[in-house]
Amino acid sequence: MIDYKSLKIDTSSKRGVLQDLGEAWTTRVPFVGYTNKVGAYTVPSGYNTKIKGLMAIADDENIALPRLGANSLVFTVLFQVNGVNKMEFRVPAFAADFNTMMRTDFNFNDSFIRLFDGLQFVNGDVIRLVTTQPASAGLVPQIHWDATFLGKDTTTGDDNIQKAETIITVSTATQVIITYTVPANGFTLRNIFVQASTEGFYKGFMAVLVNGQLVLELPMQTSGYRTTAGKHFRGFIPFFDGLNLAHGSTIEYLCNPIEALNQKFGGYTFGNEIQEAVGSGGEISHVF
Amino acid sequence: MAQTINFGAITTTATTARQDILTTTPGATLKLKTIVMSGFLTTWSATEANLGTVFLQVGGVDKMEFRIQNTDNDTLAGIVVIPLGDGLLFSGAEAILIEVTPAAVTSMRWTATLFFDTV
Repeated sequence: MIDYKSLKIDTSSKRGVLQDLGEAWTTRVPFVGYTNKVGAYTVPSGYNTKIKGLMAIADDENIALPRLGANSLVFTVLFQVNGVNKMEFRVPAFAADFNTMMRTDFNFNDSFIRLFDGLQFVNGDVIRLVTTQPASAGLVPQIHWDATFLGKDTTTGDDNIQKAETIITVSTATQVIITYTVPANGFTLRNIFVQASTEGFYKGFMAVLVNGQLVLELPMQTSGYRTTAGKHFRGFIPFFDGLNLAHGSTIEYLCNPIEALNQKFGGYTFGNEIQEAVGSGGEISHVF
Repeated sequence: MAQTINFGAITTTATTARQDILTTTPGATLKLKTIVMSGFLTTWSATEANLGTVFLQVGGVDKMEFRIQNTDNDTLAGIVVIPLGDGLLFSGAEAILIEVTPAAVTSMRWTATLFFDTV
């Protein structure tokens, strides 16, 4: 038996779900704030379209410096309280794909500090993570850092999560990854998370909207000078015999670049436009 | 309650026994919640190697002894985290000493952090 499922996007402000999954329709809030529109395809008048596939790409253009630390660079990360070193650990630089973005000698993901009910910092305390990225062979690596202080408001007990994301492109010592000045209510630190990635560089998310409704959110990576394409999520979504869209329907691609570098984002839509008057015949294949 | 964090770090280039990383005498109003120790080669290497033996003393008596290793990128090591729940109490006159006997003269970096909270 061959079972067939189709996905139909309607015009209500819902995200479509595959039949038989039993989930209720829910309103989808975009994961990120998309700042740039990459492009759009609109089904022309007099046609309907069978969308056979979507593809999103993101890549750097004319990057002068390689992203990979060819000589296995070592970055030292310090946890500081009011400018005083309190913990020191190392993050080795090596190629990472999207599934393994986190590597460190101190793997916070697996070895939590486990501060039990936390450590309390008072009003005015400054806690931060800093790092130094040395140059190698005259080239400075470009490293994407993501760090979080997880804790609670000491006074109210409410969750207080401080997150910072930065790209460090200089070898100047003591670059700040995340910094937090404790407010009057105090801050009870429960955990620290930090991750660094290099090569196969995270480019941010791309969104695909159909008729204005968010249908896909795709984390993007660059090629990172690799020849093994399989390690990088390029966001190709196939639709088998096609996703039917009536004339006037639109497919839009949005992105949120996270770094100020020359780069390209692309959205490709593959499909067949079918003249409505003709019906099942007269398909014209296109890449839009 | 307020935090007190003690930190110590040394770089070793000799196999001299029992080199001090961190020593502190916590007051009776402090409880030790977590101990973090790490050791790594100053020049990064993906070759597995025994880096050395770390000792934890309280009041001049060995309480813990373990080895830290250097491993390749896919297995994470060189770090020891000892969570102590809601904390250990001290008399106020007991010195905590963390020291290391490096296994080789290769330059290594050793760090130790003690996270205290106020009783």
